[in-house]
Amino acid sequence: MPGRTRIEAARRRAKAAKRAVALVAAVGFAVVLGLARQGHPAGGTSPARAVSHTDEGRSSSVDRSDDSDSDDSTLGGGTLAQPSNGSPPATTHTS
Amino acid sequence: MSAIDWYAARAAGVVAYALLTGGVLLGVLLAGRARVPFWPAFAVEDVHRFVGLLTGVFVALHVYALLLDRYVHTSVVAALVPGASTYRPFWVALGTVALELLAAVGVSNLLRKRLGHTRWRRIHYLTFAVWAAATVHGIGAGTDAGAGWLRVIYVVAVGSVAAAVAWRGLRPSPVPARRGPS
Repeated sequence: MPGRTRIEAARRRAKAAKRAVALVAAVGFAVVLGLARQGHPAGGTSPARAVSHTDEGRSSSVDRSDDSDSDDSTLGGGTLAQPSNGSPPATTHTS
Repeated sequence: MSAIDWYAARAAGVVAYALLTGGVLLGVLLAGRARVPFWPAFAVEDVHRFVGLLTGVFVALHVYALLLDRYVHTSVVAALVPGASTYRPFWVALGTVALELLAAVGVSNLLRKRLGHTRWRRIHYLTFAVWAAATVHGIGAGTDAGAGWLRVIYVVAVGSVAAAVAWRGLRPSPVPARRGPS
């Protein structure tokens, strides 16, 4: 009976498809679980309210490093400025 | 401190959305009486029903993981009453509405014989509203909605459902099958 075998084959195909869907869903869940890590509020990548707790320390350390950078530049400016105080009069004297 | 609840909630939500999209696509195929070689309607319907059940399982996992999560602090009331959540209230409310409409569709499936085909079909169309609300909920409430991999999922989902609906709309209306007294 070819009709009956065709129905049986379709049933088997549906069963295999359901198994494949369940497997893909389980694997997808595991993969997205790893990818979702990046989006956790504690990770600091999201605008969620929990970010403020974790970012406080990070932002203060960033500020500190910025300050040290700017201190260097102001010091550098100061050391450059000192010798330049003497040179302009020297040029005016020669002219 | 373990953040596994949050990861599980996000992952279950994304998988539930992908399954919901798959279920909608199969439903549109069935409604349009598409002829797929070696796939009679009963086999497609069987897979469609299974995908719907699996969607429900992952939605339940999504809500359960959110109830356990200590960052968002979702309560049962916040999960069931639209707008009751303190975390992104509007976007979460859309998810709550989608959840409740999905539950209504599920109950209508159980009562299909009692409701009659026409009424059941009308309720079943709510799945489009569920899918639309879930899409907007995921984009608005998801903390990783801007991530490239998730954008790809949304683009593929919206594109495929739009194409399926367009195909169904352009296809001449099939002759309705004779049903029983329901």
